[in-house]
Amino acid sequence: MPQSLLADTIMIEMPAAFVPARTTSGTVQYIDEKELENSFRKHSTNLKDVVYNHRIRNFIIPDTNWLHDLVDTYEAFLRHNHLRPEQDTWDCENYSILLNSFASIRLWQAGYYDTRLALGWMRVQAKYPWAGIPDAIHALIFAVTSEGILVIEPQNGAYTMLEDYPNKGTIEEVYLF
Amino acid sequence: MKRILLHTRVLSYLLILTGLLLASCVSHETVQVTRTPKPQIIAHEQKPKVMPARFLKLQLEKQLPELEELVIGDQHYIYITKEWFLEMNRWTEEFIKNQAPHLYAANAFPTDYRETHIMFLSSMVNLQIARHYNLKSSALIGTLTAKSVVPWGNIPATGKEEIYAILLSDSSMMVFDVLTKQICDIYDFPNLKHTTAIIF
Repeated sequence: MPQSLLADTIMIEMPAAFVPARTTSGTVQYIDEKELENSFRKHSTNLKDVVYNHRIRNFIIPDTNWLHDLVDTYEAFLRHNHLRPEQDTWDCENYSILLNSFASIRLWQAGYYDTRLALGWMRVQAKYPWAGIPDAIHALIFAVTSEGILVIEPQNGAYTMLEDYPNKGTIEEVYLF
Repeated sequence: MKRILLHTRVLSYLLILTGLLLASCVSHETVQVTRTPKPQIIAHEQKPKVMPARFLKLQLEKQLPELEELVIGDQHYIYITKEWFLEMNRWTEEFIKNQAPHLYAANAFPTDYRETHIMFLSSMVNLQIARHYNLKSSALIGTLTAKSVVPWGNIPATGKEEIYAILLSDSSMMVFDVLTKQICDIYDFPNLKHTTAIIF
C-alpha cells in the first residue's frame, strides 16, 4: 500500500493568495444577484429561478488566473481525499459547495470578510452531450470571472465560457451561495 | 579545463532548475490535513435508516410557529452518528484554522462564517458517505436560523438571528453551534420557537 494511504495526515497544496478581478481604475469587481440573473437570462429563456444567499448581496469576482489555480488545487484536494464525482449520483451540489467553501477560506485569509466568491451551480436540461457527459438533466458549476461566466464540469474539470456552452439555452435553475 | 567548464555548466543548470522550482513553489502554501474519519451511519435491518422528507416537513412545520422558510431538497435522509458528526466538525475546524488562524486568534469571524463552516462540513459528510457506501441519499445536515430571544449557554439573548447546524443523528434531531460547540436535542434548544428558517 502506498505510504500516503497509511499516513494520518497529508500535506495538501492550497491555491495562491486570493486575487480579485479589478477594473481598469483598480477597483475590486463585484456582481450582485440581479446582474448575474440578467447574464443567464440573456442565454436561457428556460431559466425559472435564481436562488441566492440573502446575507451576502455582493459577490466578489476572482481574477481568471486565480480561479484556474483554485480549480487545479481543488482537484488535487479531491484526489488526496479519494473523492471522485460520479455520474448520476446528484452530488454536484456538494462539489459546488465544497469548492465555494474552499474559496471562502482563501477570501478570509486575504481579509475579505463580507463577501463570497461569485461561484455556484446550475441545473441544465442538456440537449447536447458536452465534456463526455450525455444529454440528460445535469448539474454543473459556474464561476463569474473578469472575462465572463465560466462553466465547469465537476466530473472531469472541463470548462468553457457560458457563450460557448452548447446547452446554455436550457439552463433552468441557478444557485448562487 | 574542460572538466571545470563542464562543472560550471552543470552548476548553472542546477541553479536554473532550483530557481524554476522555487518560482513554481513561491505562490502556493501547503497545509497539513488530517485524514477524514470513516463515516458512521445508522443502520436498520441491515439497510441505512432513513427519514422521509415529507415526514420531516410535517414535523417541523407543526412545531415551529415562526418558520418562514423551509427548504428540503431530497426525498429522504439518512441518520449518522453524533460521534462521527463531531469528528467531522473537528476536521472542518482544523482545516479552516490551518489556513486562517487569525480568525480564531482574534475571535472575530466573517459575516457568513457559521454558514460556510456548516455547508463545508455537510458537503464533506455527504461526499464521504457517497465514497464509502455508494449511497445516493444524503445525511440530514443543514442550517437553522433562530432569533436569540433566550440565552443558550454562552450565546447571549441579543434578539438577533443566529445560524446553527441542524442534524439528524442517532435517534433524534439535534442543534449544534460550530463556534461554542454546544449541542442539544432539538426539543431542548431554547430558541426553537423562534426559528425562522431551516435549509437542508
